[in-house]
Amino acid sequence: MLPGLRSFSLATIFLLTAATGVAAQTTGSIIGRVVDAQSGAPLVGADIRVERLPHRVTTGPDGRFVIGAVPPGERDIRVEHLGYKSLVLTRIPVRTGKAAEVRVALETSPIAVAPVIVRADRERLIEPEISATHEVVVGREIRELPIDAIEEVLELTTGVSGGHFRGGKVGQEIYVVDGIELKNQLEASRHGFGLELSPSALEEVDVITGGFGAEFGSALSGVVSYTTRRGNPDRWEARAAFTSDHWAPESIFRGFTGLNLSVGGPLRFLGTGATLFADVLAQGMLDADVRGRGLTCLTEEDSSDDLAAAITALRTNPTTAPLYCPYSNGVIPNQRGDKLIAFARFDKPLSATWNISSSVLRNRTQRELYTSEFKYNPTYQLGQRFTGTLANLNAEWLKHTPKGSTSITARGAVMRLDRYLGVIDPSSFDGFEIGGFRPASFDFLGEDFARQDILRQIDAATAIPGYVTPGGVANSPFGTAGAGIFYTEGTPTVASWSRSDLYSADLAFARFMPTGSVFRGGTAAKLYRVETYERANAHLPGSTPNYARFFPATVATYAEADVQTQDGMHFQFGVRVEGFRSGINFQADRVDFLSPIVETSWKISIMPRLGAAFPIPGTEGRTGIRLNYGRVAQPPDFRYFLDSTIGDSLRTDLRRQGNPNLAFEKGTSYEFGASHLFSDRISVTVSAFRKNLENLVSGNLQLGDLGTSGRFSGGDFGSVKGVEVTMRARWTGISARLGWALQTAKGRTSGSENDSTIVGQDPAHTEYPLAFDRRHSGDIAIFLGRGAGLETPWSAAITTTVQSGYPLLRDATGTGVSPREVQQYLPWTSTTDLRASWDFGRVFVCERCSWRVVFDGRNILGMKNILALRRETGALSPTLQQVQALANAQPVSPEPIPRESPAYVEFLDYDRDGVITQQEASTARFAAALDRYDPTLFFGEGRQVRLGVEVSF
Amino acid sequence: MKRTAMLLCLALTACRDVPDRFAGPDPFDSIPEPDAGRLTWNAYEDHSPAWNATSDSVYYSARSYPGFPLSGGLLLSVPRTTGRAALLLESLQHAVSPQPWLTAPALSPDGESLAFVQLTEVNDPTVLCNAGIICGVAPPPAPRPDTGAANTMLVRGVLRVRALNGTTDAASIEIEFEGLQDSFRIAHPFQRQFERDRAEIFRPSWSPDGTQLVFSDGLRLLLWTVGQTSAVEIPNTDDGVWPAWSPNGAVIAFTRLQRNTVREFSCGCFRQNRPLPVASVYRIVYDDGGRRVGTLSTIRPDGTDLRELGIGEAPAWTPDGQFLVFQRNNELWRATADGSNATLLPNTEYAYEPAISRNGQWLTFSRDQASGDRPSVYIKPYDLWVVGF
Repeated sequence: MLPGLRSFSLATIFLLTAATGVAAQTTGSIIGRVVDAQSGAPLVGADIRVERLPHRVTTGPDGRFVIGAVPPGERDIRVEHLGYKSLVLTRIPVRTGKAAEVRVALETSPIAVAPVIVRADRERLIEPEISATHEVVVGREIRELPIDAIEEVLELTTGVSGGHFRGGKVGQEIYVVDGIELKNQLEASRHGFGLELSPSALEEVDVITGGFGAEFGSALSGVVSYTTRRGNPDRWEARAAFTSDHWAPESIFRGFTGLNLSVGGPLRFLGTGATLFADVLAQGMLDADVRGRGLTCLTEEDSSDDLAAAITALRTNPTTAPLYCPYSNGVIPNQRGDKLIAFARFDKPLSATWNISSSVLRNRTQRELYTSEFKYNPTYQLGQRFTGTLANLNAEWLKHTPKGSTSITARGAVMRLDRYLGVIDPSSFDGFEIGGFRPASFDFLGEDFARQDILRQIDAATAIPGYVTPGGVANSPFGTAGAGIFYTEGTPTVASWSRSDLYSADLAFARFMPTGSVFRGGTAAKLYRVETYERANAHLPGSTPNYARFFPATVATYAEADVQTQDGMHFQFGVRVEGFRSGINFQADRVDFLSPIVETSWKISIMPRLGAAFPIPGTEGRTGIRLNYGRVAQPPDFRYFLDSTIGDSLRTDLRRQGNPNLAFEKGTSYEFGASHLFSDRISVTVSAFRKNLENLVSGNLQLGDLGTSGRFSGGDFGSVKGVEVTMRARWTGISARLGWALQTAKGRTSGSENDSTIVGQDPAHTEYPLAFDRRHSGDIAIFLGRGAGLETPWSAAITTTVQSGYPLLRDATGTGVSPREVQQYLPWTSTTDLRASWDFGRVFVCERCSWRVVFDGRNILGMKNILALRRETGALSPTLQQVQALANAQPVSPEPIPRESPAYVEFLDYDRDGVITQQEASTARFAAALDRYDPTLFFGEGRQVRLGVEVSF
Repeated sequence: MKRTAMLLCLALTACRDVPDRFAGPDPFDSIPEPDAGRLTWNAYEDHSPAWNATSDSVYYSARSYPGFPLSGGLLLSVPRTTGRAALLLESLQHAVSPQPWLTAPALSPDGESLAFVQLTEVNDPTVLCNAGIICGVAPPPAPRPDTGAANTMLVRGVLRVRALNGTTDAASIEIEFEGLQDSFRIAHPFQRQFERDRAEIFRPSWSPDGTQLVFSDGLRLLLWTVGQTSAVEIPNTDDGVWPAWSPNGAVIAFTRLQRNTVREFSCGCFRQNRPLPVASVYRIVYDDGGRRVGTLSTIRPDGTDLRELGIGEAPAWTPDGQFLVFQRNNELWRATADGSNATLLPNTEYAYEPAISRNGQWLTFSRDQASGDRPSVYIKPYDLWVVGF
């Protein structure tokens, strides 16, 4: 217990943490009033300081104060007034864009005494004044959660499931890092944000799924706002955490090692208030994509009756049994990978009104990509490496007066996202490595060649150096029977990379009023330099790559008012104007070189946004209602401007012609919500929403007008509607949050007008469940002990996510190119994770060090979640005919293979007569084809159990 | 207690190796090193076994099978303890075209060079010498079913000597096939029916000092001083094949095949749909009467002191030069150098072409399978037989 901490018993201090206007930026505010405890009279001139921050104000004539632009997090304020006992109010939850309201009553004291310390742990369970729907996870909770990546925190938000925000497509959300809007604008729908922050480097994560304000753009479905940690200005603090499962028995060993170092403190030589925070996260993974089942073979229960019978015949015959599922190790090889996230943030107050901050974030995620056809290749595997770099500089002018606070923030940022997919140079694994983590980046075969000037590359007319035509049978357990089914020699054939450079600048204004009202405005511009490269047959000298370099740009401006009335009514008015241009001029008809050149123009979208929230009169603020309406829009992924290959799980890749003239993807969202506080311990919030989407870029695989190449178009539309229920509960040492979302996502995809399966309806206006139409999703997060704010040596956090399956979009035509017909939904999935720790206090090394033991379990119930099924069969397995077709793709050699032959593999000679006969080879070939069709890629995360140690001071 | 718990946790986080990669099992993992057993399982013929210098591998000639280049005869090496076969003379056999037909390997006494015979055949399916043949004396005998198409021409034989790691021949000499003239030399039937499975009768054998080789052209033995341009016929060796030079260099054991009748043919060969012959062939057919009966003989290198030791084929000397092992009546026998004390080696049914390892411990031979169509190389420990000496 903190020295001097008293229980909060007197009616002298009230913490309301009343929140206003979510729309918000990166900071919140603290407003309040200081009064005399005996008389209730306002105290003028009381000094209020935010601990460890430069923010400092004095109360006005009515005892009121406002501290604006306070970084989110749990803040402490010190209140001092001559003749009164000083008071330190701790853990005031400052939320992004909200005003935490406190009322402080000071007791008189004729002499100076130690300040009274009071913990403001009465966090409100409902926010009846907020019109938006959002979920906040603070740093203290983040560090107790069983997560490896911050994206897993997002999944604990009601309505967010599998990267889909409220039934939207992946990539329809925007990420805000310390106030800077960032997005992987090139390929967000395929690769997500592309930049990752270490969970331990965050002060707060705020996930807004509905009713986001005019400040946020380039998003249809959600906003994720990250606020990074800053160094403690009073003293240096550090934390090191090491977690691993390398101790685990074979059955649950997955090969995870994680090391996390955080350090922050004052840089006194740069003056008062200058701080530095740095964080490094390194994770090594021997199995970078842990699958639920851990096996790579089809089973009878996965299969149709005829294939099951064939598997049974193979598996139960003692002579052929070894041919079935030759690899059954729990850990899948060829999936090595690691992750490195380094972050540093510097803050310095330049004067009473000027602050600057700067941060640098560097990511590197690299891993092998398991492919079943190359799984027996001992040398070459496909791999992918993402690197991301973000550097920003913020300058903030901040003025506090009793009438309010004003801030003007100028931000500049540069970001580079780089992705390379290709064949990993095997020498990458020769260097230093510990626990699966490699400090050095993967080398890819011929990467320098693939990245060189494209004209020189084409002139060279060679294969990418190192690429070799795949083939061979030498290392396959099926020997020659695996020819053409597995490639044990040569390399995968694809090489692709993309690089997106962003130069961003924005200017933001905010005025915080003592009443809680906030007025904001701002403008932003982003310039991009984008390069993409794709070469599908990099092993063939004559093959040519697809390459593009272009310079798109976006601009935006917004104005917004969050007005709070005396009786607690809250209104939000905002408008945002956003524009973009692709920067590409193109030929109208790709196959007609005489067709005119189309010059692309700026696309503009105007987005009004309105919100209202108010407590129901007579409920003493225990019940609130909220409404919001908004137009939303986002530029399409820039990759749609370019020709590209659309792939699906069946690898029926199709070429698509790019369309640089695409316009904004747009939507209109409506939401109604109500919150009720049943007691001081339990609250329930209900939201109903509808979102109409239009002008979406088609993801349909319908054959286009250029044979196998159609042009991306923006004609798709859809709608998402749903109901969300969130319950929050809190007892001493326990806090819990449960969420449930029921929603539908339907839409029309271009090409459906050609669908002959639609009878009796207008096919052009028939909506189908979209691929991400997950009906139910639920999440539970329970914090116990320290994670719930209790001063205990132990802590535990349990999270559970439960969700219904996505629709299985069956290909009614059997061609693999028109997968729209929904025949079933995938089964429900669920995962329960648990992280528990025990603080031993000082054990060794240093007096101030505190040591903890950590238990971290993932999918501890061992659920074998099926995430996908084969589109053509609606099952995990292919048809018997497909397996046979693969087996028969190459004729079996009629020549017997004697034992002394290099082509001989003993277990193919299942009668052990020293010769593999044609019959034996045919059986083995069927087994090889079966092994190639392994269902591994369709399962979710497997069970993992880790132990770890943390030390902090 | 606290420290113990912390240290325990740290210890438990020790790193482990990466998971096993997908890999096929070693096909020979489960095969124990045999005291006796089979070395090859080739569905086609394996012939001419010969030991390497260290007695741990057997060189032999095989018709190719999956895993090797397509050829009528490959020179391979297989471990004595069984295992995968490997190409001998890589530079001669790997990735070359056309693939040579090699047979009858013989390792030099110093273990560094290999003598072997290369046969060259031409198979032109458009040339028909039996269907449209015009023969002056009598129609030729029908080809044996296992000798390949009758239109295959054996056009050349060369005895070559090459260092085991060499890329060029140290020496070579043409083997003159008597009875073949004009533009084609017909292999099938040829002389004593030199089919693929009997090409090993040319077998060269080194003199103990490594300077000379004795070999057969099918009708006699010839002595070749390695490096010279011609070979010398050894007198009194008519119909001599399978020579084996004794370890002391004093005599050469060989087999004299039985000669039955000799017929001469003058034939024309026609190309399909062509009225006139594209070639004419003068051919002498030496017929052994359809039986493989040979007389085991010894003779001095100068052609003197010819001794007949009874029925026997494919003789091999023990390293001490005291015994001969040979095939008789489809089994292997051991006899002293003068042919006396012949003893049947049990369990050698259908075995022939015996070869004894240089350390005297191992005997290898090829065996005609009971079915009669799958000769393969077998290995048996020679010590089973040495005890009786």
